[in-house]
Amino acid sequence: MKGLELIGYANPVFGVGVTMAAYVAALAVQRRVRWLHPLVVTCASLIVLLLAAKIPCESYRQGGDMLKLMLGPATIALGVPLYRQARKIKTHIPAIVLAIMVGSICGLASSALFVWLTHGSRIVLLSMVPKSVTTPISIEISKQLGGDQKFTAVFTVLSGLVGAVFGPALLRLARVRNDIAIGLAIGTSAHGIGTARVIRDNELQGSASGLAMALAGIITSILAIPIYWWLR
Amino acid sequence: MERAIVQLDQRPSWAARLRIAGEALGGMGVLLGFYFLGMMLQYWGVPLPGNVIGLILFTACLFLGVVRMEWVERTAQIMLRHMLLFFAPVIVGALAVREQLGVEWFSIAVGLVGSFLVVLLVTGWTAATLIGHTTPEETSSDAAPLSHRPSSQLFPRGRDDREKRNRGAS
Repeated sequence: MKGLELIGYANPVFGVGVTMAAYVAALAVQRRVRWLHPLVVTCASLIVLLLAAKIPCESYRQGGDMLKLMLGPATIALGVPLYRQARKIKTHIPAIVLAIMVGSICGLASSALFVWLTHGSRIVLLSMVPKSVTTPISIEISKQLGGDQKFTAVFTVLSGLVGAVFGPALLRLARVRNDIAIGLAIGTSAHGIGTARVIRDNELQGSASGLAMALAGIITSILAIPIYWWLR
Repeated sequence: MERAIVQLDQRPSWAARLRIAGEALGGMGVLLGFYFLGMMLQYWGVPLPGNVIGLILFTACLFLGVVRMEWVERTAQIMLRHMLLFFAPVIVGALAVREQLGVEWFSIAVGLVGSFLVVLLVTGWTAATLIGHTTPEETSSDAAPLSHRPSSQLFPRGRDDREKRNRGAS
């Protein structure tokens, strides 16, 4: 490891290279073990590497931040599924927007309430608030509110994974049988990870979920404005 | 667009590959342009995250026909499919704050699971009440006429798989 230290882990090439390598390996693993989400494998292997080789997080961040920069255009790209699915499911747009709005308001309020009730710290509370929307948007909202982006990223991904694993079964228990409603519920609560899960089984659920993921991101950022003013 | 995808399935010529790469680069330019515009507007005082402003403007331009789908389709698919690569570093960064996450695990677990349940059920019930409790026939047959047939009949296998993976990244 001495050699690597000389070149410097702090070189951005290290962070970018090692993350891409872990990602490609995770995709290969998923081809064998279908249920293992590549996100889990990528992050776990990177964390193990950083801890085992005692590489400081700061050095890794040099490259990590360069990859993070790509989240900007990736968010803009959400407009493509939004446009396409909105044209596909055009009959119910007002109802869909209303349902997502109600869900998003409840999401903001309930996450703050639950953390407050269990005496969570202020930073955890603020980071938890936007956790239902897709990661690039949730970490931006978190930054605006004064939360911690790293916390929010973890919370967002965890809710996505919980949603992908338990969401469809829970909705069946709750007797929600309409495919559009199922898709909207999954997309609003579990964003892209949930969408990737339902799209495997049902085309219409996948479309509704993709639409909900993008719309919930926009609606939640707008709903966060009053909170932001109130906190300031 | 269609032609390019089919060619990709049967090992494209170098000319086709170059054209595909060109398309992807052009699309990247459009996405970056909207991102930059969004960041500028945020800087000028719009109280929304820059990327969300960009997303709103971009979607509006798609609906208005200012931006054509063919320009951005391929790039958007690539960006969305591999989005987790871009935020994996943020999650790995949580390594630095793992102690605080550990101390507050109970509060975090209750907040995550509780709030997830609320959002899931409230959205599901509201939508079901507004739209109807069973999948409406006209929607699935009228708006998405192809969805009843297994899509493997409509597209060659590779294309179908790729389409599915493209749509949800995170």
